[in-house]
Amino acid sequence: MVIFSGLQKKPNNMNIEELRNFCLSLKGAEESMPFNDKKLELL
Amino acid sequence: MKANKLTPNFEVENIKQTVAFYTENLGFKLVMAVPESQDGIEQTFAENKEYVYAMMQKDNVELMFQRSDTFKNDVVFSKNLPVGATVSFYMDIEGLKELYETLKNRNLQITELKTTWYGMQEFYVKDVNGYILGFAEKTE
Repeated sequence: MVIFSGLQKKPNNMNIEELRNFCLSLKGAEESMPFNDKKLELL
Repeated sequence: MKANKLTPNFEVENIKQTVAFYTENLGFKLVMAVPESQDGIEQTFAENKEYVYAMMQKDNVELMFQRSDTFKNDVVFSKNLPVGATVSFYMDIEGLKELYETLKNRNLQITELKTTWYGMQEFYVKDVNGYILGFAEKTE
């Protein structure tokens, strides 16, 4: 299930840990899949 | 000094392929990725874009991956060195046997499952970039 796609502009010059926390705080982030096209050729 | 956190940052040739490996084989989830434009973060990959960085997570373990060109700019000691490292990334997990049974039937470089003198059952596997991952669980 894709719950978020597209560019999320870096808000307020967050550092990497803040960006991490921001991403994990997004609802449903734990369920997101990285490939929204499902066409990536796997290894 | 107070040490807060240790997260491996792997130099890789291809972010998407690396994320695919950790997703399909080990169940890691993508936390965020940085596209080549390096002007923001994304939580899914776009088909027509390439990426220079990704952070992944599974339970208490987090890993970072950075494409070789930007890695060598940021980590200057890596210049003129090939991708790879003589280190094992040793993960204490639950469900070792199940993971081993799953991975051994895939086309991976994987060791036998061993019980060690120090009370752990463990095996090692190479990831898509050749990095050595160790998986271990306390013997019952």
